[in-house]
Amino acid sequence: MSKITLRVNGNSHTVEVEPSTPLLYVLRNDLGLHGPRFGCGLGQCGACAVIINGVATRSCITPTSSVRGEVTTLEGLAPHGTLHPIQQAWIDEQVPQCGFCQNGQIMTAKALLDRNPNPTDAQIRDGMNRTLCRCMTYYRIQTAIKRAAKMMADASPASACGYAGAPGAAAAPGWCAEPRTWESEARHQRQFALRVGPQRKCKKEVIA
Amino acid sequence: MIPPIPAIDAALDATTRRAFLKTSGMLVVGFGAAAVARANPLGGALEAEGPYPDPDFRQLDSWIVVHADNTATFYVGKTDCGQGTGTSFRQMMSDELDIAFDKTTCIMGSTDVTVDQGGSGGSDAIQVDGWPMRRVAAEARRVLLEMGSARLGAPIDELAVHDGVITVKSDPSKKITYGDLIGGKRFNVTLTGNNIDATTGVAKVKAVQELNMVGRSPQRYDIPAKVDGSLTWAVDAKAPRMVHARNVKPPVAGARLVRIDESSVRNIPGFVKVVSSGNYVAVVCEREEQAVKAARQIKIQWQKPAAPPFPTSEDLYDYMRGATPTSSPRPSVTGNADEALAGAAKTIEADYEVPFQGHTAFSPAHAMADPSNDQMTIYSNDMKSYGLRNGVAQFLQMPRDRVRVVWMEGPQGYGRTAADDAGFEAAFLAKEIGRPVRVQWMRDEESAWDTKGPAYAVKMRGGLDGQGNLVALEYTARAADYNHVGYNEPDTVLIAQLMGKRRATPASGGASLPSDMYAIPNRRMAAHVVALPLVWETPLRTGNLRDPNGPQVTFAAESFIDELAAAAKADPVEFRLKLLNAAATDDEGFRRARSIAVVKAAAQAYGWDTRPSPKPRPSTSLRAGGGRVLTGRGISYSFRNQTIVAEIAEVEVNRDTGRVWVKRLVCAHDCGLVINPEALRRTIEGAMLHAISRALREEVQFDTEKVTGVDWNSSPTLTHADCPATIDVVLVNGDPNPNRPDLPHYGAGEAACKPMIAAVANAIYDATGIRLRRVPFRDARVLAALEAAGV
Repeated sequence: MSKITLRVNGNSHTVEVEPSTPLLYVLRNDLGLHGPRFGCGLGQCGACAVIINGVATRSCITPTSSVRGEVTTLEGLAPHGTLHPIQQAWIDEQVPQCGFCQNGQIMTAKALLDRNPNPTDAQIRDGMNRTLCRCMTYYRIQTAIKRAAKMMADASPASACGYAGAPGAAAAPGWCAEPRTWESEARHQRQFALRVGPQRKCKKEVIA
Repeated sequence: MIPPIPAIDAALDATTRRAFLKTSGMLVVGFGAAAVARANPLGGALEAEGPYPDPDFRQLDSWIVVHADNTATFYVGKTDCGQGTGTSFRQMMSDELDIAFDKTTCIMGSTDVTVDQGGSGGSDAIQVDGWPMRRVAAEARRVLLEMGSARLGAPIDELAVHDGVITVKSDPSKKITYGDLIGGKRFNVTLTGNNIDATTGVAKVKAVQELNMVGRSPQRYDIPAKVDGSLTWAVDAKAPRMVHARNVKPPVAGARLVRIDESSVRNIPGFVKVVSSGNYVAVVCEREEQAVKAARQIKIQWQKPAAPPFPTSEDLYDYMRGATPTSSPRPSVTGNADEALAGAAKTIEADYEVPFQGHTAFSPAHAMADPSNDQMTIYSNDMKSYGLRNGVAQFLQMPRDRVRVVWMEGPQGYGRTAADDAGFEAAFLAKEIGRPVRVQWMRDEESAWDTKGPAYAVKMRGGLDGQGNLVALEYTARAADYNHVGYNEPDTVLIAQLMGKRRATPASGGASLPSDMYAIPNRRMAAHVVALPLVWETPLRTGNLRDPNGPQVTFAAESFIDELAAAAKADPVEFRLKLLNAAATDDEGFRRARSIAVVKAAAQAYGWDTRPSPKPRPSTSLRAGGGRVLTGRGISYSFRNQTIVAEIAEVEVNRDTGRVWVKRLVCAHDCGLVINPEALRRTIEGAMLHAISRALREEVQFDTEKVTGVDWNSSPTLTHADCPATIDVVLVNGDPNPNRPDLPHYGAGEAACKPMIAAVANAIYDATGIRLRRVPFRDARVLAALEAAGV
């Protein structure tokens, strides 16, 4: 057993574990996080994805002792409860079925959009291809990524804080480079409410 | 911040659940209400002590609580496997109760606080269980109106109610809310009904035209907590002093445990115990990674069975065709197919093969069981939480009311998954260890040992007359489905099999017939069940997999209809419509009329050009200048219970690689009254893509002693790269009287799986002229077929 200090979602944690312990188990069982989850333990599916230094990383095959730099989990995308545009797009598109894989989908999409804020359809398919979903929500995931890219692009130039998360800023625990205050969060919320509009029209449909 | 759903705090009132969450250091979240079912509907705080008697479905208080703040909580005995049924229940019940949708919450599936509606299964949530929900909500409205009438001093027919506020029509200043009338108090109203599905009060449900939220698409309430990481899933269940367990499965099917060398793991830090009984073995450690290590490291001597437990997956179909059936249900016969085939102008026949396919749940099976207070509480995502409770009580010989299951969200509840098995294992180990135990299967274990949809070998024969009319059709299926396991059976669940506590007589299993409304004068449909050599303790155990048997059967049936259309040189849509239109009569669900409407709607939405398949190609040879990518379209149609589906797939077939891409999908879907169109569309999309995964990728591969596809490389699934570019879902109301006030609502979780494999096969034929009769259509198999045909 060794004492290992990790920085996760902006906070420091010291755990006492075998150095080879997969990061996933430390995040879930020692830090009580629910975003990353066990899917295969082989790095094949993406359920356990976290972002380390801007890279979507499979925490199930990452020894805890090898972690250098800030770890961001799904929980860390929404500091103070303000959803990241990707998370908002996921809600707007009503992406999940069971939702178990969506941690990996969202974290992989986050790293993808940080790297390439305006991906083509082919780049989305390629960038997301190793992140699996057994409810097969791929169609809505891809739509949501495009929606999120647009939300981030629309917000970025006008905003004092870049929503798009420039690659250099990706290691930050959240999506916002500006110091986060309740005022700035509220401003973002208003901007997004204006840009994205009411979430769903909720109209009564006439069915063919 | 996502606003808390009103009333959830009241619902959370001082329960064991809350204590459990507190002591394990996890905070209760105030939204995603049904995600974590956790409450005593009457606000009591007694569950910690137990016992846990069944909530009485004949009491209105078991279903609905109206709070003082004029919000309501609905308690239903279903589980939501990710199709949004919880949201739909709220829509239906809000409408009947006349309360605003966003003033309601829904709590589902925990055995001590919700009535036993059986959990999920059979796509019957909306079709069957929605009715008692509507009726009890209507009854609550009736009772509240009576109370309002007394309080306001006005007859009921002079009252109006809107969003939980009762007003006097002639003087709207006179009003009172539901919350003021009953907030926090019991209804004390007895309901009637011979069984839970028949539960009813005195009130009648509303006409379709009076429903307001039904037919709209409010967002699913469970989604925000699934995308911000705040949801507590079944995999997150923790308790003080909890330990972690991992199973150690026999390395080959049918192996007998000879000896365990416990010294091989005793030195692992955190080691607690090796538990074994019969051929069941588990290692238990303080920490999860320690249990994983111990399960890998433990030395166990096993004895292989004398005879191979099964043929290889390559030899499977020959074996099935040569086996003596274990049962043969009575065939369905119309006219005389033999005579008609003998007299037909043209006859064709074909054999179709579908492999075992697994659930291969995205998260391997898991559960946590807590044996505190001489009781057993199981935290599980099992879609049939009530069955798990009953099964575990029998298995552990505990009184039913000392066992409860807290249902929590988990991966893909698409039938009889290994979640059943993990729940029993956790409870057994918790009893053995005397501490809370969390069990989690590993990936290879899930892929190898979860339940499988049965393999099918189907022979089809058909005869056309001189005008190309279908005059005879014969369907003969063999399904490897002997000893099909049910849900949560204490004598078939895997741990019971391995421990030698299995039932004496295996279940006979089943083999299904096609579901269509074609009028064919001479038709014979027969099905036989066959068994593999190893019947018990086999990784090739069969159980329900999303739309059980449907994709297999319909692949054969609807591929062959396409073959007959091609033989008749007829357009596949016109050929089907002719068969549907050939009868004058319909059934009481109007399935013929609705089938015709659905097939037409699909063709119209796609922009179907009428012509026979295959599509004429400028050149049959790549070398002669044909394109590298061939395109085609195929249709398939079927129904599941009362839900009718027609699907059109447009494919690209790559001549160089054999890769098939389903580029475009159209689905026309009639499930009667639609509750939430957007949630329905997504459910249909998922079901179609799940079936495309089964068409293109999925096959349980095995040698003569074990499953060899044990991870996502050796047992592939559909990926982002396979996703269609366009999906169009058309929701059809094909009822002859579409505006009738009692239009029923049917199920939708599985029906769209059914025709899909055949639609893909028919599209590949249209593109290439090659008929693929063995699933899946993996690249190598398609490429070999293209090369063999010189395409």
